[in-house]
Amino acid sequence: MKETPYVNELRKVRNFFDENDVYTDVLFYVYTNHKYQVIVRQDYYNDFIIQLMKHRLLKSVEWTV
Amino acid sequence: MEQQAILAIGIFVVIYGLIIAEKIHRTIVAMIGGGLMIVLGIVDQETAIHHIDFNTLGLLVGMMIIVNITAETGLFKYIAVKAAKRVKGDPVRILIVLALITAFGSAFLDNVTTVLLLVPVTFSITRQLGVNPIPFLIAQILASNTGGTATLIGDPPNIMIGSAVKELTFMAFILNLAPIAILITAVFVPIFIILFRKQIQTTEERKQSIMQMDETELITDRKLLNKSLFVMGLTILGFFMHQLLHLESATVALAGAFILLLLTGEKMMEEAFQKVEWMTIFFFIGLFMLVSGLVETGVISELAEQAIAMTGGDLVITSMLIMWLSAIASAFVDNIPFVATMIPMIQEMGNMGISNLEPLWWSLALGACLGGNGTLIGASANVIVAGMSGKEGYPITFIQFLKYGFPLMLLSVILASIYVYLRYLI
Repeated sequence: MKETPYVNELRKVRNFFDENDVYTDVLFYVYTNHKYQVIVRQDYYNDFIIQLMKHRLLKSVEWTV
Repeated sequence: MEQQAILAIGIFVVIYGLIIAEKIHRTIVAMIGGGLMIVLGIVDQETAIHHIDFNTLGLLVGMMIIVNITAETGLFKYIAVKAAKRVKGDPVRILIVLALITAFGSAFLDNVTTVLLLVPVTFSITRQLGVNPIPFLIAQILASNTGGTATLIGDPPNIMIGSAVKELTFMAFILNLAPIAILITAVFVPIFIILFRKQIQTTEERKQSIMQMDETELITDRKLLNKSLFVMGLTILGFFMHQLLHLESATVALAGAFILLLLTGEKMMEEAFQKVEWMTIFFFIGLFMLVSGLVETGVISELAEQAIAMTGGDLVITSMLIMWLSAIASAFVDNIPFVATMIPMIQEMGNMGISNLEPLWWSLALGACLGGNGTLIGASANVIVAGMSGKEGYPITFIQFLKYGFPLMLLSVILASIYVYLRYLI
């Protein structure tokens, strides 16, 4: 994620989950060069994808089951 | 005893019982109790307002504004991750540094605020390490209550004592309480290692993932961070010098808060005021009014007289009695109403001939603050952390906390008793 617009949008997603009342829903780990690791709690998959979609950070979503 | 005094005791006992029962919010109960003292004519409104300690309230509001604005910058997450990297991602050492950061933070900020800032980042780090967060949280609770003992602004009992006794300045609190708070924290550290090391093992790979994190990304607003750090530094300097400047601590905190709001602009003001814990502020107001009824009807002086008769006015016995009574009471009930009642009682003891009240004030502060570690309901920070942990799927039970908290509380009060005895009573 090196392009600035994507980084800024991802920061907004991070802020959204950082500022809500649940602390372990979506955990963001930022590494050098804007490399992100995200750990999403199973019951928050939908909320996470909705936020990514809202910030236009998804190309496609596909459920396997 | 006068009818008014009996009525005041009745109201006080019922309200205290309702606060302990926690069936109705403590703020509502305390305000109703305070209101009843006025409505039933035990004290008039003017007298009740006179008993409200605006220095305590101003200090709390000012610090809440400064901390809430600073928290927006991501500073506390940055400090926690930076510290975790400094100890090479080792879980045991992370537990210790997070506990030490909590202790230091609690000395200069409110305990609840400190844990609210550090618990989310603790969940984040422990998830990455793949370890149980509960040992980290228990260590932080214990460190928070111990660290809060060290300064005038660290814990509500100290704020109240510092406000009530003008001679006890910010520096006096540090010089008298910080040494014992540091000693207790130093004793706790190896105990934490022994108690928790087996529960928090991780892999080398997970340690490396902590080491590779970029903490600078956690700072969300650098301009705001610079302004916040400047004002926070200025405010703490103000606390150190408040006696020289002839300023009350509330003036320093409120001045700091409004200088920061001036620098950040109006846009931060609404949010900063919304985040002030008004329920806590009104809880204090209710309690001050409630205790005013006991003071004005002579109940407090009667109690002080009986306490002196019981101890024979002996400073050692009185001091130890206050410390242990405060510790045991604070382990099970809210220490704020307890201290609110004890302050006029100790002042009354001064009027009755005990000339050196200093050891009694330090005993009250140490007992009330350290006693909070005894049980899960002993201090607000304990309840808040347990609530946060339970909500995230890691419940801390009353018994689980008691196993660690109560023996460590007893140990800390024993150390505090030896300290007070050696320093002030021989």
